[in-house]
Amino acid sequence: MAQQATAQREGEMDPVLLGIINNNFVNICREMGITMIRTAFSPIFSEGLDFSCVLFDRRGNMVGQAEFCPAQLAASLFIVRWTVEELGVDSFEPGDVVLHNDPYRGGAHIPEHSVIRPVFHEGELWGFVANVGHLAEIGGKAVGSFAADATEVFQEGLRIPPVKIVSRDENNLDLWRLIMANHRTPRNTWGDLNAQIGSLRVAERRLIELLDRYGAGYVTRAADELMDYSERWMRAEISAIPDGAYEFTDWMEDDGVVDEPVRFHVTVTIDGDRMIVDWTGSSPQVRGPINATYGVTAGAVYNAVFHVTDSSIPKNSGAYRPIHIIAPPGTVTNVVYPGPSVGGNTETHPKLVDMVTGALAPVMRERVAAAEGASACNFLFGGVHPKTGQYYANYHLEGCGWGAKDYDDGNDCTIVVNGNCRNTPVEIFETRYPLETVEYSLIADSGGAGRHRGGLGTRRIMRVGEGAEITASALFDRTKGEFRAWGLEGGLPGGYGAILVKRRGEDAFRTFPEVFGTVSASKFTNIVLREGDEVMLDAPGGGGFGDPRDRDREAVAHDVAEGTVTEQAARELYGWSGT
Amino acid sequence: MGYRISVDTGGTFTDVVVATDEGALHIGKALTTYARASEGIGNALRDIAAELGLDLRSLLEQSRQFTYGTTRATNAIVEGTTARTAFFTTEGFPDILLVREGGKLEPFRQVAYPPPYVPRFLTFEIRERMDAEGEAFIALDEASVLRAVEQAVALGAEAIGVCLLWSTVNPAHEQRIGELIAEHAPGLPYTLSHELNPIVREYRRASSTVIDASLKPVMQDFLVALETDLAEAGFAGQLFVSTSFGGAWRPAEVVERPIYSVGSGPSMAPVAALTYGRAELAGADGTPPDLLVCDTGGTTFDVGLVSDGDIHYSSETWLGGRWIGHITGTRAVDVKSIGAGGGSIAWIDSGGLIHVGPRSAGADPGPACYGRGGTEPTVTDAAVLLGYLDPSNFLGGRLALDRAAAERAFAPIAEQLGMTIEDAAQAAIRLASENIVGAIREITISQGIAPREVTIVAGGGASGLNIVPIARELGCARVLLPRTAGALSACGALYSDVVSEFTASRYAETHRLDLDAVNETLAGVESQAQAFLASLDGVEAVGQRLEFFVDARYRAQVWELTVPLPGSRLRGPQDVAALEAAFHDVHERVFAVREPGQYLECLTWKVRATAELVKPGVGGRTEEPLEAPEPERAAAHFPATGTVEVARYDGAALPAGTEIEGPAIVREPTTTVVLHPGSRAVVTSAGHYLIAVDPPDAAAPAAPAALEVVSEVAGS
Repeated sequence: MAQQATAQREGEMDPVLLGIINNNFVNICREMGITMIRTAFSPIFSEGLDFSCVLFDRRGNMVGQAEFCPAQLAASLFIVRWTVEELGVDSFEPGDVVLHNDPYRGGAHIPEHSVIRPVFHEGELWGFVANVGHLAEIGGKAVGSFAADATEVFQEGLRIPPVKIVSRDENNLDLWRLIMANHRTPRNTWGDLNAQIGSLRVAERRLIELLDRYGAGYVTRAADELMDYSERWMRAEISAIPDGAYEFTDWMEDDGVVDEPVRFHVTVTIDGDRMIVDWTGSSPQVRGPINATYGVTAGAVYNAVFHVTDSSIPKNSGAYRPIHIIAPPGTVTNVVYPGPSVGGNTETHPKLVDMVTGALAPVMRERVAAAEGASACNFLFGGVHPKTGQYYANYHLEGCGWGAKDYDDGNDCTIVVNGNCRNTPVEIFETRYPLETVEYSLIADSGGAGRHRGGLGTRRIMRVGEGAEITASALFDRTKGEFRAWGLEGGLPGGYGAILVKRRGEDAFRTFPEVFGTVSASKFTNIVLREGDEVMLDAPGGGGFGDPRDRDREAVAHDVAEGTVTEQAARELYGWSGT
Repeated sequence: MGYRISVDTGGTFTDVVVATDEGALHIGKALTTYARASEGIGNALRDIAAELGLDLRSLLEQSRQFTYGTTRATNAIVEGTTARTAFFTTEGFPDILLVREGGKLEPFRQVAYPPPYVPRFLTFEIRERMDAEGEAFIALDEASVLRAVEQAVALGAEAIGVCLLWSTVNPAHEQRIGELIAEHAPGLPYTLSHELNPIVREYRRASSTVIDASLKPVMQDFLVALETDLAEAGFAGQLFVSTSFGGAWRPAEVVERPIYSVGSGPSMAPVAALTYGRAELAGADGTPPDLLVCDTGGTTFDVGLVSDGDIHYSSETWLGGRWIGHITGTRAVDVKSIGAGGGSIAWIDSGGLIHVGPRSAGADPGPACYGRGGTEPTVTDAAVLLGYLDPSNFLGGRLALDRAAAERAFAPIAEQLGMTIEDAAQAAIRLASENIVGAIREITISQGIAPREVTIVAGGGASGLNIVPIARELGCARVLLPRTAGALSACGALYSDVVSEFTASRYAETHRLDLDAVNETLAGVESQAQAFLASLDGVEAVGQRLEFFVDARYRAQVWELTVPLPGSRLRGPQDVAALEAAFHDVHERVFAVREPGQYLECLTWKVRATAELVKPGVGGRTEEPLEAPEPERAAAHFPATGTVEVARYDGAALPAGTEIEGPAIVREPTTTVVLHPGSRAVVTSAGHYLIAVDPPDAAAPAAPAALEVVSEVAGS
């Protein structure tokens, strides 16, 4: 064909065609994503967009991805390499699909399930298509597989090493049966995993069309050139940052099992056109589930770097080459077997992102933001609906306030930096679950004061309905002490998060340790709440940027008029004298 | 005897179409003038009147119908010139309009979202609360309503939107608030959410409500002025305004629910496409093939779908960006805009790759070749450089194009890429087409439609430039390009009916359906629909119909699908089974899976009332030419051939049945058809172009340029 003539011209590559092939790589991943959204059962894919779609060459280089979920950045970079190293490249045959969810093999946490399919062209392995998706329920000690007081991976759900769930296009039904017997909602597992696997077939077909059209050799060279192009661009971005070693320390209030703060420490070194991110100095691995896997730590570093560099750099392996990560095994930034890690992906990831940007803040002030609320505010509950008699389970999240920037206020009420999830309308919530929402509104003064103000968190109060009993678990942070979202350049910290309870007939909200004797005020599992009990979920606010007294007076007046800042805070923190 | 006139106001051009009794369509086009919209319309109408041997006044006097598609409402929202509006909401929920439904589109950038549609200081919490079953567990505190009305008025509110939780199940509190507003602030326009858009999901309903309320004073003034002006100019027929449903309403109905005029222009393109598809492509049963409706404007490429003879609708119209802007929440013809129009700008990123769009030169300054101050290279400039557009005869000679300006605009890109001007222009067209192809694939695949199985209906002044390579990339073999393509939406307005939907929420599960309750709901919406049709006295209708639908989903699913009901009532288990079967089919088409045996959760019941209007024929030409004259010769550049001499035809002179082999160009007064190599057109009996497109292999690639160029650019 005519196009193959193009491929045969040595050393020449059409820059327009290069752009088109790059678009094709991304479009193949997007079509994979649309197929997943279309065919999945759980809202976690269709609404939460909690998945990523990726394309690899035969050496395991990522050549294209569709940007669905930042939490899976590293997993989607490493899965093929780590699987191929373990199984061997010769073990793949056309029509195979490998499944795994092992957090110690590049995953982010155990609910994250990767599926990988080799793509052959004219009998030769060209590369792989893969996707990583969060399965909603995978067994373990807590409903929703989110055990906030887990001390071992075995309590967090069913762990699966790399195994062929499909061999030469035949389902391995024994394996399917084993998996589904260990999940609480097997109907969703079947539907969602099949959506993931089905999307790989779509991507394989489109990739083969591309290889047919331009020739496998030409596409490989285009992929190489595109990776070099991303690498050059990323190196140019890093070179623009002044050389030096920049450090930052932050804390998590506790790990859910032991009531002690957990230390995180990072040194970001800029050395010409490369960046070294070293987590040495972080606390040893803790007993509770806030440990980060290597996949979480690496993903957080990439997420931070993408936030402070040009976000249009094509996201292929080349863009990652100038970034080096040191995360000592056995610390909270690189958990080893059998340490628990489910909350590392939701609570620790955003904290690590903020730390990298915080370290770079002195030399990149125009690009960074103060800390965000950085808690997914995980609240999980389940029970039998008193009106229908049916079992239900729900994984509820809240958006937090985001950090202010040199040029703008932070966003209010936005899902953490590693997620995409949207929120559930109150009217949908009330048709599904036996809880009434009493209040859902922004919390005045929760945005850290500053020349630019941090975003506001929200308060949600829910009451357990007539005849209902729910079993609830939670994984929050930033609820006490000096662990609020920090500000920059004199900006003040954002408001506290909270999860509180008011028993039926009582008139005040109290903490879970006070009422139920839990170790942690923010992380607990399987607490039973009954009719008339109320729960208050406060999402933390974002940090401020710059001295609040320098805030534009009209902006302060607007805040007061809008009720986002109270008059008292405006006078005390912003030095406002208006009326 | 009488003419029918329709107008579509676009971002770049305002299109005017006049249909004669015989079905001949006369098309006029004028640049949209934001300052004085009537100026452009008047000029275009005057030209058409001259073609008909009339003056403007006698044309208007002899016209029986005038359908007006206006962007007045959309512009008022974009420019922030709507009425100052207060929002009344349930106590405890003041931030519904700010929080929206969450979500972020850019994973690696904190993108600021615009403030809520109504600021918090104009938001008033009303003490009351219904539960999901409509029981008022907190009674309405009328004192809190009176305080809110008083304060809103004191703060200068010119309209009020009222949206309470669960008002769709029990509207008593909203109704009472309406009475209290009428009593204590007489004359102040207000909108009650359960009347306007009774859907579940508080943000969508609240957003509909406040947008609608904020438009009431604006549209009232605008439409009264329009009626007066037209009457003074001599028009005594029936005035209609286009709606986002793809239908026409009388001004009074638009004043009542002005939100339905938002986005009305683009919604008319699928109406026209369906009309042409039925006339030109239908099988024996009268159903046209599935249609992909492409309408290219200056800034966007709009895509709509028709499957099984039905236009696709959606309730996901966002103003100012998906998820972060403001949703209209109302049902509208599903038209998705891709940022790739004739004005889209070509640029090189800091890494060295070339891109086209989404930034556009729009109408002002427009492409460089328009000679109105634009200097950046656009798709239209590329088309001039490649010989696709005739600089001396664009829009029937109404706008002279400046080829030298197009060349100057492309020179920097060509230099940076080390290409000839023609290759750079070709790259811009190719990338613009690629963007469109990628977006179309997403749109069709997510609707469960295979792009290679559709027929494209192409409209808009610029669509003929690259619709052939777009069809080829999609694997789509057939394109219908109406001769009236340049004014597809305005033609749609001529072919539209009076359509309105009436909706009521009642939650029901099909495995334990309370037939009496559901039928009571259906009777309620039906009587509203009947009352609407009865109110259309004086409208010249040739028929009326009611269609019944339900929005339903499988157990515990997130989103609903709209499914037709087997009749006006559910008479028994067999009707429920038919409903379930219909849902399984729709679910399988849209989501590729079905779940036999699963029950449905039904949320919203609706009836669509249609009064069919008299419509002109689909004929595209005023008189039949007998014999095609010899075409001109012109130079045009194609990737496969480089610059070659091609035939350039004057479309008006082509008799039906003429076959034209690409490469060739056909010039129409409002559009240009570029037949790339590997395509051929036949002129249909109605005067439209039916284009057959060969599969990709027939086309040869562009000559490759040096790889080093990219490295140099990226390294610098």
